[in-house]
Amino acid sequence: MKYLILGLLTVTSVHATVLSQYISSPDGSSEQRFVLSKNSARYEKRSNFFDKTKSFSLGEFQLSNDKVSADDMKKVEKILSKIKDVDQFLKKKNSSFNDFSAKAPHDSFIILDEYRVSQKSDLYPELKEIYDRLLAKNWKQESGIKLSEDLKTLTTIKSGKETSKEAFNFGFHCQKTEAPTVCGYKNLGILFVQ
Amino acid sequence: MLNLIPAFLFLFLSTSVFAGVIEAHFSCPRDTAAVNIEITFDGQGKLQFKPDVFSMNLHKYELEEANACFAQFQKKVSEALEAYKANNCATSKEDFCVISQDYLNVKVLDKIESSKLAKKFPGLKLSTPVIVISGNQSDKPNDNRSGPATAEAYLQDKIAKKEIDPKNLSQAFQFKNAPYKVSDFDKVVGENIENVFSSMNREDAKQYAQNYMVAKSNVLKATAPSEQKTQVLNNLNQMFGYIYGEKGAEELAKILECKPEDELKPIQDILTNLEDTKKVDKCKDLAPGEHKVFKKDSSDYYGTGHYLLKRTKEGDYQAVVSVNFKTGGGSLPPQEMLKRSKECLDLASPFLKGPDGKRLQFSVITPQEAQQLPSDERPEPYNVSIEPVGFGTNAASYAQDVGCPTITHEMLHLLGLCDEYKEDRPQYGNMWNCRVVTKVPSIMRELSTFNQAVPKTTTCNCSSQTCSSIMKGSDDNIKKIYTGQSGYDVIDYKFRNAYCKEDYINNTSKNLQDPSKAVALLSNTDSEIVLESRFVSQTTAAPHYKLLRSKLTCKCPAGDNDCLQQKARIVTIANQETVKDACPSGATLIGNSAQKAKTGVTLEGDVISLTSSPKLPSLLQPQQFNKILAGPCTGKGADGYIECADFAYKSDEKGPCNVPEKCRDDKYFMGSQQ
Repeated sequence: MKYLILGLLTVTSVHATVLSQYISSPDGSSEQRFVLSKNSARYEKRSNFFDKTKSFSLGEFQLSNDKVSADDMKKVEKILSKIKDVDQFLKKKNSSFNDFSAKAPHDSFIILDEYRVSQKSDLYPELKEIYDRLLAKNWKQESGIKLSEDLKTLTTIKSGKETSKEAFNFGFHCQKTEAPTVCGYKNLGILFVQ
Repeated sequence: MLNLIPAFLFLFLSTSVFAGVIEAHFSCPRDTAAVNIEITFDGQGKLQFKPDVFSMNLHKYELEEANACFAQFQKKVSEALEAYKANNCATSKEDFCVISQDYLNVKVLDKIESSKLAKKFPGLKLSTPVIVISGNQSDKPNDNRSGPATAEAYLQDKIAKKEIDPKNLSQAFQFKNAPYKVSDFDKVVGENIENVFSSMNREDAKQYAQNYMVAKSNVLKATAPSEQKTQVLNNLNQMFGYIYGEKGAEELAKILECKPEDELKPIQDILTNLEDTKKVDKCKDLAPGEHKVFKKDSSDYYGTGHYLLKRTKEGDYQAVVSVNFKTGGGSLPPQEMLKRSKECLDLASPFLKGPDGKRLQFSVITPQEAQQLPSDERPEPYNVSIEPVGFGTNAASYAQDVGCPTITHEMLHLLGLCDEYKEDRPQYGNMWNCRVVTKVPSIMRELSTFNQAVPKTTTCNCSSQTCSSIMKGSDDNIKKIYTGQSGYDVIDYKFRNAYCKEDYINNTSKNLQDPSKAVALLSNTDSEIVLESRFVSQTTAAPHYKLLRSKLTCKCPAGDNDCLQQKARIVTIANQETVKDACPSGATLIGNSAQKAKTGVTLEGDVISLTSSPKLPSLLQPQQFNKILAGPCTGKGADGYIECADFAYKSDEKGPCNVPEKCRDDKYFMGSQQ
């Protein structure tokens, strides 16, 4: 019994909620993900599309001298709980919460765990506010790449440290031979450069 | 103080008014003194008289005198209200401006009946207001100052006055200092479903129902039956009925299998016969000289857009969309984006061909231009904002540097075509993982299809030393490499980043394999291709150019069918002779235009023209073309498309989405490849 309780506690403690915003276009999809748990937060940046101040970086980030407010965490959990209740109700009718989310080609929306919250949802404004607060926090890059402002040097980052620098092969990585254009690096995402 | 009472009982009333207060000046025959009474509403919605004449003691008046006085009082108060409204209510919505005469009568009556006067004169024949005579209490205006009025009644009143939109379930309002939302009142929501849904398409209706379910999640979760749960479920059944057709909830499970043969009825069809007629019209085949206007169909998310479809006397077709370009975050003026869009569609149109060789001229006009069309030919306008460079272009927002392939892709959405590119990354919630990804060339999956199908002539200034040296020289191989598509042109940057690596080749350029090609296929195995890509680089010393080469190795992981399909496409193009669709290094762009000359490269003076050849017979696959003609109608040669494209924006994190196997066959989905 005690192992069962321990197991349940472990599951509870590692549960993470994922809040992300998604934009899709024929030029590529852009998404930001925040993986939130009680004691930690991770930011997975697949595009610099949402940057308030443009920075050419892709990869994973962690909070530096900051944390996600307990109030925001509570709000997210409360919203998620409501969504799950609706999803449960609709599952009994062979439907789902996502089936009832407004959809239009390329319209951006928020994803909370696996649930799509469209801009027309009454839940959207509150989630977007939380999302924007998360985005504004002081995130420190843990892994991935960073392209220099002159678009010439690509720095690889691992465990929060710069591990290598190399010349950025613009022609190979980017859609056009000169900025403004979009570039990629392996499967890390899309950089909008200008 | 006693003198006030006679003054009240025999009114000589004159009124003066100011905001929120009716002031009555009066006197009574038995008394010579006149007095002013201010009539107001308090914070609880109760009528107040200052001084409080109804609470005074009366000793010297008889019943008949009192009766006459009350009747006169009510009459005078009515006149006072009328005067107040005439003077103050042109724009104001304060208390006395929004209440009716009858309502004030009721309030005065309430006041009198509860006063000491009524106790003193139990036989008073009070003048009865109209609404009480009618006995229809529901006509009584609901107001937050009314004692018996409830928050629900208040909301109903606000909806009736169009001050609250029942569509907005999260709309907040205050009643007696307590906060409420529209969704708190299930009865009111239920009463308004028909009204709300009549103006929604199915997509919006589903979102509305979802918002209601979220607001009622606690009720849906509760296991115990309750009056509220019954009301909520009744409301949902009604909503499902409108969304899924007459059978309502029973249809839900069936409909969610996404089969168009379910023949979902649009909401309008349920509500009006008029739409039935229109539906028949829109499904009639057009004879030459006829036209029809499609509207976005509520029976299908992307069944069709708003557009005018005309058939020319020659038997070809014209599709017209109305777009209102608006300034967003970008700096490009709307008229510039309109101009660009028109040019792009002009470029594309000659290559929008159907399976029977019929052509489709696709045009975009402004709403102002649409107004110049006959009234029965005007498509409803779309709004498209202009955003900064780098913005992820979508059907409603264009990045200001958006090019013709993307513009054409987005405009085709407005004709009802769906996305076909793969979108199933598990880390993002299996986004649209039900979408059927096509393999045949399609601009709805791959933007490069535009350049494959639409030949164009690119005119460039070739006066630079590099361009001049190559193009006026005698080395035909270097001319072809210079003007041919390189590895970067042939392999999309996303594919390059995901599957390829590049190694520069430093050794001599002698004895090249396929020496005239800008991209040469060095090897091709089941999972890997190796290409040699050749570039011309500018140098200052004669001959003012240098040939650079790199080896591009692209390897598909086992089982990655998407990669393998793209690899096959790259091999096909690498084996063809190609012409760049942009100016080569050292030449500067003069302009792009529709194909002006024979495929190939020409040099006239210092101007080179590169004319690409169409690699595809049409920019549209047969069923895409037929779908544009068919709109939402079945039996028009687009049934496979309608069936399979219906999965484009569905996801199922657990299963195969019930996509019919036949949809995996492009011949079924797209028709026999053109």
